[in-house]
Amino acid sequence: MSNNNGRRVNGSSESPILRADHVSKLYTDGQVTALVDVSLEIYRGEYVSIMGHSGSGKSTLLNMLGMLDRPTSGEVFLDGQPISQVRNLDTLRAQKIGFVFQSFYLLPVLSAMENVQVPMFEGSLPLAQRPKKAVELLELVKLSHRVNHLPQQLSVGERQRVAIARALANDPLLLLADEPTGNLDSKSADTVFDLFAQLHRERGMTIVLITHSEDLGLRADRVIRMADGRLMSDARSPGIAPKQTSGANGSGSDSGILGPSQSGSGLGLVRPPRPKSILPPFAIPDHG
Amino acid sequence: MTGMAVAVTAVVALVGLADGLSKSMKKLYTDRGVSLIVTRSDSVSPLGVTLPVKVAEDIEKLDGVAATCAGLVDFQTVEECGTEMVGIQGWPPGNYMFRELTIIAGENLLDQNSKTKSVVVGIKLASVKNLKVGQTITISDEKFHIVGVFNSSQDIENGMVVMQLGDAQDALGKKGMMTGCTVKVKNASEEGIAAVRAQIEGPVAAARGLAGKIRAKEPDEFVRQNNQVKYAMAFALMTSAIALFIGFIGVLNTMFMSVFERTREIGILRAIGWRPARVMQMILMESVLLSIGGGVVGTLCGIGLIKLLSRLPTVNGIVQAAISVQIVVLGFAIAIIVGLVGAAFPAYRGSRLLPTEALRHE
Repeated sequence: MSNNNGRRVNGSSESPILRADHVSKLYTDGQVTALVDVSLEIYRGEYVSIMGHSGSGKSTLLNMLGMLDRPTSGEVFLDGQPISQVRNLDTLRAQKIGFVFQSFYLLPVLSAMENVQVPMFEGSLPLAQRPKKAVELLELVKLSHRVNHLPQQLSVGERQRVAIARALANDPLLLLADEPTGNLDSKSADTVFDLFAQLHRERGMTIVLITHSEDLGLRADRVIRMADGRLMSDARSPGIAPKQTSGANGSGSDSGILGPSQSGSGLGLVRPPRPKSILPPFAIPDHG
Repeated sequence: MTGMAVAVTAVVALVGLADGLSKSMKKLYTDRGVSLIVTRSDSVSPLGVTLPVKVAEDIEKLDGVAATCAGLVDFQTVEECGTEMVGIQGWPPGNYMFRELTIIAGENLLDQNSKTKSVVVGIKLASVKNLKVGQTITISDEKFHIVGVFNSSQDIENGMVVMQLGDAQDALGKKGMMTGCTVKVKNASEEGIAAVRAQIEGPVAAARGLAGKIRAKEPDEFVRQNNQVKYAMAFALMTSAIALFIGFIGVLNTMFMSVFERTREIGILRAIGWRPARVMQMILMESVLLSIGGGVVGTLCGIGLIKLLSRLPTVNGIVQAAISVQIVVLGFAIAIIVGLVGAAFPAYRGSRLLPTEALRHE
C-alpha cells in the first residue's frame, strides 16, 4: 500500500525511484574522495533538497544520481535498474531525468522554444508535435509570452524557468537541480522555488535539488545534509508538516518518506558516521 | 570556410582549365567529322616528330577514306606578337579545312592559286595583337602577308596563324613533312573506322618503311594520350591536391577550435541526454554545411578565375572557358568529402567528452 505520493506504508514498500547504495567517488587525478559510502533512497513524488557547504560532495552526489558520472564503488539504481549494467546511460538520462543547472546552460543561439525542444531529439515525440509541447511547457513556467526570445533577451529568472521547461521536455521521472537559484536574485529565486513546489504539488514530480540557501532548502519536504563527502543527516523539513501515513505501525513519523533503515532504527535514515560538525537543529537523532 | 573556398577555387579553376584544354582539342576533331588522327607512334609530343606528307596522300587513296588533311603544326614566336608563342598551322592548298574557317575580314586561302607567303589569322590573335589585313608578320625570319582574319568554330584555332602547308614547311624547316594527318572515314561506324585504321597502321605504314611507327587514333584516345593534356591534367591535379590538403588542415583546425570553444555547449547536450553519435552528427553536419558554403563560394570564384585566365593573352584561344557540370559537381563533392574527413576526428573527440568535465570547462 502506498499513499498518494507512493511512499512506503505499513512496512510494505514501493521500490524507490532512485537508490544510492554505498556509493563512493574518488577522483584519481587529484586523489580527492568526493563521496564516501553514501546510501539513500528517493521515492516517487518526493521533494528533496540536498544542502551542504562547498566541497561537501553534493554536486558529485547529484551527478551520480543523475547518471552524469559513474561511482568508483557502490551502485545507483534508477527505477530498480542498476546503472552499472546500463550500457547507454545517455538514453536513460534523456528519457527519465530532467536537469536544471545553476548557470542555466541554455544554447544562446536558440530561442526559448527551441531550447526546450533540444532534449526532445532523444525522446519519442514526433518532430511535428515538439513545438506545441515546448509552448505548453513554457506556458507551465509562465513564459508563454517569451517563446521566441533568445536567452540573452530574457532575465536570469526567466532563463532558469526556460531551463526548467527544458528539463521537463521528455516527461522525466524525476527532476534534478544543481543550485538552481545560485545565480538568481532573491525574487527570481522565490519564483523558481514556487515553480518547483507547484510541479511537486500539482504534478507529483519527484524533485531533488541542491541549494546553499537554508530558507529555500527548507521548503522541500525532505532535507539531506552533507559534509566531507558523507551524508550527515536526512530528515523531513521542520517547516513541512509530516504527511500522515496510516497502518499498524502508523507512527506518523518520518518513516513514511525515508528509505528503509540500515541502522535498524526504523526511521529509514541512512545513517552516515556522526559528523564532527554541529548538526542542524532538525537533524534526525542517532538512535544507534 | 575561407580555406575551403580557396581549395575549391583552385580545384575548379585548375581542373577546369585542364579539362577545357582537353575538350577544346577533342572538339577540334569531332566537330569536323574526323574519325582518325594519324601520327608517329614514337612521338613524345605530336608536335615534335613528323611524318612524310606522302603518307597522307596514300591514306587519301584508300577505299574507305572520304578526305584527309595533312597538317603541320608548331608553336613559334611571331615578331609582331612579342615573345609569346603562337600556334602555326599549315594545310594543303585547297584542303576542306580552309572552308571550315569563316572569313570576317579580307579573304581566305581557298585554292591552290592562293598566293604563297600569305596567311589568315584567328580573330582572337588579331584582336589581342592588333593584327590587320594587309599587315606583314615575321615567322622564323620569313615575312608573311595577312590576307584575312577568320573566326573558327574551334576556339583553339582563333588564336592561331593558318597558312599553306608548303609555306609552313619552309617556315618551320620541315620540307615534305607533316605533324600528322586527320582522316574522315566514309563509313564512320566502329567497324568502318577499325578497317581504315588497320589499313593505315598496316599496309600504308609498311609501304613507306614506317611499319609499327604510325598510329591512327580516334579523337578521344588521341586527346587522352596527348602529352600536353596529360601534363596539364597532372599539374592541375597535383596543385589541387596541395590546395585540398591545405583545405583539409583548415577544416581540421576550424572544427577542433569549434569543439574546444563549445565544450560546455557539448556538455549541456550530453547532460540532457544527447548520445555521442548525435553530438558527432551535429559537428559533422556543421562542418559539411560550412564546407558547402565554401564550395559555393569556391566554385563561383573558380568559374570566375577560369573565365579570367581564358582571356589572358598567353592562353587566349587555347582553352575554352566552358564550365562543365562535372567540374561543379566535383567542387561540391570535394567540399563535402573534405568537410567530413576534416571534421571526423574533432567530432569524435567532441562526442567522447564526459558531460561532467565538459560542463566544468571554462
